[in-house]
Amino acid sequence: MESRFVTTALTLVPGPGDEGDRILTVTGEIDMSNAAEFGSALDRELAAGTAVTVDLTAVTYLDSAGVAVLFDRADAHDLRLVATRLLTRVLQVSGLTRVAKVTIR
Amino acid sequence: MAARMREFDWASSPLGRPEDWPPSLTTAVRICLTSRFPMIVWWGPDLRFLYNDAYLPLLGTKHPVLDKPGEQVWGDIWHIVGPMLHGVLATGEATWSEDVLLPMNRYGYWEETYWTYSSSPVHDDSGAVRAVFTAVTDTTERVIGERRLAALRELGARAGIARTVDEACRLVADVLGRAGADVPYAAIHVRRPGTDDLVLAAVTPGGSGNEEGWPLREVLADGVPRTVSGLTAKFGELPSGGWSTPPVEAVVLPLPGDAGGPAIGVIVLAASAGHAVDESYRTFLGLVAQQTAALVNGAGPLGTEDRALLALLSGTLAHALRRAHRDDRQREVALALQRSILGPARLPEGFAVRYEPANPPLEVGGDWYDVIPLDGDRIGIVVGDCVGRGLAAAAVMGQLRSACRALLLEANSPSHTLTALDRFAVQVPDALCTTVFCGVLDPATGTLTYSSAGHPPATLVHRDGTAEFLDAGGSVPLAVRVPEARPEATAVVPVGSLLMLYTDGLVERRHESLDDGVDRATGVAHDAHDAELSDLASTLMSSLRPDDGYEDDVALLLYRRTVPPLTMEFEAHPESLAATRHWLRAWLTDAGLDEDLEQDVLVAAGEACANAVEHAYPAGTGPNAHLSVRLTGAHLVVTIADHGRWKQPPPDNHVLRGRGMPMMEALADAVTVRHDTEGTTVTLEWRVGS
Repeated sequence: MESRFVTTALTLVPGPGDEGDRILTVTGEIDMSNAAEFGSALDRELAAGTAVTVDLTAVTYLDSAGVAVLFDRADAHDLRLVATRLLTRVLQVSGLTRVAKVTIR
Repeated sequence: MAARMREFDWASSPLGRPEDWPPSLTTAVRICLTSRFPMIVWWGPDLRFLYNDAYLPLLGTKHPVLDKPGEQVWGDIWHIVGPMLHGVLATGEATWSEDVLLPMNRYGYWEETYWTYSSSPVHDDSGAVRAVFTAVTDTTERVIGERRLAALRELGARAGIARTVDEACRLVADVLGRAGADVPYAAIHVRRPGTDDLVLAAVTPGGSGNEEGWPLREVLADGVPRTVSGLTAKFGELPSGGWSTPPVEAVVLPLPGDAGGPAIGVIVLAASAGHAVDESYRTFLGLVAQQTAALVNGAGPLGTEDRALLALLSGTLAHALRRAHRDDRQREVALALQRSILGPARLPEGFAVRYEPANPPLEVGGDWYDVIPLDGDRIGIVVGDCVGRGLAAAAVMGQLRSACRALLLEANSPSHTLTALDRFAVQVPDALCTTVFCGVLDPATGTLTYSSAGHPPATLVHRDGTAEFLDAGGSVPLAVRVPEARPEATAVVPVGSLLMLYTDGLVERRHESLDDGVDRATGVAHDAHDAELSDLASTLMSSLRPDDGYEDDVALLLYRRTVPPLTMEFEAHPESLAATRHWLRAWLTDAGLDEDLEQDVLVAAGEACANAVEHAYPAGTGPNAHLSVRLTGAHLVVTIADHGRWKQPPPDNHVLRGRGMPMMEALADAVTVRHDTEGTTVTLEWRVGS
C-alpha cells in the first residue's frame, strides 16, 4: 500500500512458545488500514493447529477493526492474548475477555 | 422672573407692552422663562436684558436689572461680550464660546469666572435680526478644579527628586510659582531640628518670606491652621499671581511630620483675591500643605527603587480622588480616577475578574486585583485587601496597587515584591495589615510562583472537584513587623483546573466559620465548572451574595488554563487514520488528561473516524472529513463530520452496524450520531475527572 502520511506502524513477529505453542508478537497500532495484514499473520500461526498467544504488550492502539480479527478466530481456536493495562478497556468493552484468555501485564 | 416680568411697567420701555411684541420676541422670552438653564434675551439695538430664574445666581447682587441695556448690566465685561453680541445682531450668525474668562464684580470684589455660552440671532417676521438669545453655563468650578488638580499632580510628580529638605522646599516653591492663579504667594518655614526655631526655606518668586506678623510659631506649637486676613495692611501688597488685585487672605498650615511625628515646619499660602476662600479652596490649600510635607519628609538620598516608589507614594491620585469626590460637578473626573486606580480593563486570555465595592455608588473600595503582563510571556497576578472600606480604604488601595505593580515589573519575584511592598506600606498611613496575594504565572506550563501576605489562600479547583489550597508561601500581612525576606512557593495549574483568588468579603458571613464559606465557594466553582469563565465568575458572585448584599468589598479573580481547540481536516482514507490519531494524541496530552481517558478518547474517536472513512471507501478519493476537539472546563467534546451521502448507515457499514458503535457507546459518556443530507456527524462527549 502506498503511504500517504504517517502509515499505521505495525510489525508482526511470529515465533515458538515454551510449550510447543506459537507466539505472535505485535508492535505498533492496529486499525482498519492494517487489520487484514494482522489477520493474515494470525491465520498463518493458527494453521499449525496449536494454541497461539498474541502478545499485544507493545501495541499502543487497537480498535474494533483489530478486535474483529481476534473475535473471528477466537471461537474455533485456542487464542490467548497478552496486553498491557492500556488495552484493558477495549478488550473488556468489546467482550473479547469472555471469548479468549486475556492476561494483563 | 415670570411674575416680575408681568408686573414690570413695560409702557415705559422701548419694548412696549408685551401684547404688542412681535411673535419672535414672545417666543424667545417664553423659552427663556420656562427653561431651567440660565438664558438671556438681549433685545433691540441697545441689547436690553431679559433673563430667567436660573440666571439669577449668575447676577449676584446686580439683580434686578430687567430691561436695562446690556452695557449697563455687564459693564465690567462689556469689552468682551459687547462686540460678540453686536456681531450676532449685525451678521445673524450664531457664536459658541467655551470656558471664557470673564472677570466680574458681582459681590464687591473682582472675581475670576469662566463661562461657556452660545448666542444665536432672533429674527422678526421680516427676517431682520432683532435680538440675541444666549444660553450660558458657569464653568468656573470645573476650570478652576482642573487647574488645582493639575497643580497637585505636578507637586506629586516631584516626589523622590530632592535630596535635601532645602531642595524639596525649593521644588515646591517652583511648582507653586507656576500655580500663581491659585497660590499667589507661598513661604515655607522649616523647623531647625531639635528646636522650636523656624527658618525660611523657600518662597515663591516676588515674595519676601518675611516672618514678622505671621502666626508661624503658634501654628507650629499647636498644629492648628490659622487664617490671616487684611494682608495688604499688615504686609504691604503681596504678589497677586497675575490677578488684578493682590491677595487679601492667607492660611498658615502646619507641615505634619513623618508617621505622626511632630510638625516639621509651617507653610504660608495666600489665596487669590479672585476667589472666595470657601470649603473647596481650603481643601485645596490643605492638600498643598500635605504634599509639601510629603516631599520634605521624603527628601534624602534615595535608591532608584525608592524613587519609583515615592513617585507612586505621592498619592496624587488618592488626594485628587478625595478632592474630586467632594464636588458633585467633578463626578466624571472622580469616576475616571476611580477606574484608573482599580485595575486593568483588558485581561489576558483565560482570566476573568469581578469587583464589587461595599459602598455604592463609590466604584472602588479597599480591595483590588491586578493582572500584569511580564517579560518571558509570564503574567503577574495580584489580589489585595486594605483594612476598612469606602474612600479612605480606596485611597490606600490605589497607592498599594500602583506600588505592587511597579515592584512586580522590576523585581519579578513574588517574595521580593512583597518584601519591598512591606517597606513601602510602612510609609503609607493606614496601609498596616493589608493582605496581598502576589503570584507569577507561566501560562505555557501552568507553573505559579507565589507569596502571600496574610491573604486567604488561592484555591485550585481541579476537574474532579477537589480543592487544593495554595497556602505554602504564606506569611503575615503587610507592614506588621520589621521587613524580612518573605517566603515563596510554587504550584502547578493543570489544564482545565480553575485558579480562584478572592478577598474575604466573598466568603465571610456572620455567625459562620470561614471554612464553610470557602467550601461553599469551591462547591459553586465546581458545579459551574463547564461554564465560560466569565459566566462562572458571575455565577460565583451571585450564588455567594447574601440576601442583603455583600457587607464588605469583594474582589474575585479567576484563571483557567486551557488548550485551544483542535480542528483538522483529514482525507477519508484508511491511510490517513494514523496521522489523525497522532495529532489527536498530542492534543490530548497537552490537555493533561490521564492516560486511561486519553486511550478511551483515542479509540472512540478512531471508531468515528473509521466510520467517516467507510462512507467514502473504497472509492478512495472521497471528500475530506473533519475532526474537532475542545475542552471547556471539565467538558470534553469530540466531533467527527463527514460528507457521506448516506441518510442511514449502509448495510455493510462495519462501524455503525458492527462493533464500532457499541465501542463508542461504552467508551464515551455520551454519543450522538446525526445523519442529514450534508453527511454524518458523530459527537462524543466526556465529563473529565469525575
